[in-house]
Amino acid sequence: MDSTQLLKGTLDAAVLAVLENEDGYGYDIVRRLRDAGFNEIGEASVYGTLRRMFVSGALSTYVVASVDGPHRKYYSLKPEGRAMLSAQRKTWQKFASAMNQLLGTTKKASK
Amino acid sequence: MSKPDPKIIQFVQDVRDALSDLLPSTVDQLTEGLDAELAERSADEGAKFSLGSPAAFARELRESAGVASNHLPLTGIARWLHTLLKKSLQFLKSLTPVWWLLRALIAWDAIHLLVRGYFHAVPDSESTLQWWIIAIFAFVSVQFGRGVWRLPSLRWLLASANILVVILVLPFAVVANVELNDTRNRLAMLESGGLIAKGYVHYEVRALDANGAILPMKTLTDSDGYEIFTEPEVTPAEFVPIIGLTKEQATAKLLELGYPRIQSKFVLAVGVVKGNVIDAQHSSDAAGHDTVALTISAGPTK
Repeated sequence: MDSTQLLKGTLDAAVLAVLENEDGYGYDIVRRLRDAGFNEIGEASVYGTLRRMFVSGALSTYVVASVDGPHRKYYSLKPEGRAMLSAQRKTWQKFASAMNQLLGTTKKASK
Repeated sequence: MSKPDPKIIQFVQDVRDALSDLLPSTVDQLTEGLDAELAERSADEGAKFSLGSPAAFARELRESAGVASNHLPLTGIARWLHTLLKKSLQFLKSLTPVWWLLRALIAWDAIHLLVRGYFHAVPDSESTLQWWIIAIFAFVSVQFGRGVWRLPSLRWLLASANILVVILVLPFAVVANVELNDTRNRLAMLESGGLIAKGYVHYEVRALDANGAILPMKTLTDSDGYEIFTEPEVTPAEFVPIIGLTKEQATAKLLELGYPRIQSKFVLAVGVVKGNVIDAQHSSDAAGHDTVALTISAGPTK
């Protein structure tokens, strides 16, 4: 199964999750997602997702000046974003448990 | 602050170009800070860093941002006009280096105007100093144009200078045109073969005495005997009918007129049939014999 396809549908939740405890800037968020195991993630997808969630009001931004490089734009979760994350978490858990059950049953049946 | 990587700057520009069907504000929103993100990844990945296809990046960016559909759905002639406009702008953009040189030249003109008090669009070809000053201006202009030199604190000054140059473009073009025409006219005068005096070409020169009577004159020479001007020889009226005849026909005609002594010389001439008479001049020798000298076409010159 192509994991990039799976990720596409769940990228919003993944981005919201990595921002739950700590604000981050674009590439930092890409790095956190890769560290979490999503090696195939396209950075443009992450940047596009961040912009979309900013426009929809789930995220807010602020700029932090940097001495040795360009200024960084940090994203942080707004209450709307936290509510969205919590809703998506519930949806995913429901979906994953149903999927686990289904895959587990199929495995038993094929024995 | 570290220097921006030109490859990243180009990549971001290419991504922006690939998104150019969207509203400019949307493009700005999608690509704002992208150079910083890429610079960070470049620092992180080191030698492994590669940018990939800007078109693919733009596609992924617009899909994930949910702006996949064009904000300006264009069809038919509108799409054609949009493409034409886009291509024209790209073409104009490719002329930027020409602008860098032009503004250096106009900046020199402006300074010339201030120092000398008159506008002089095209520098004197023999003035090395003027060309050196322009070369230095051009260098400075190109360095700022390429972004090699930056003076953020003097941005307003550079912007005003650019605006001043834009205002001066029209007078510059007018004066440059006048000066170039003048130069062209002078060159045409030099090549005309006429006598140039007081800035005009003269095809006819007369010598007058103190009373205003025309004096006989054939040639003007300078003090070294160098011929400045020769009065064109005019075919005498009685010989005009033989011009254009063959040598035999002309000889027969001259015998009728009572000129048995005929000399011939051949010259290369353009646009005259070979063997035809071009000119006939009359002369008398010491013994009083009349001779007619015929000039005959020996074929065209190359």
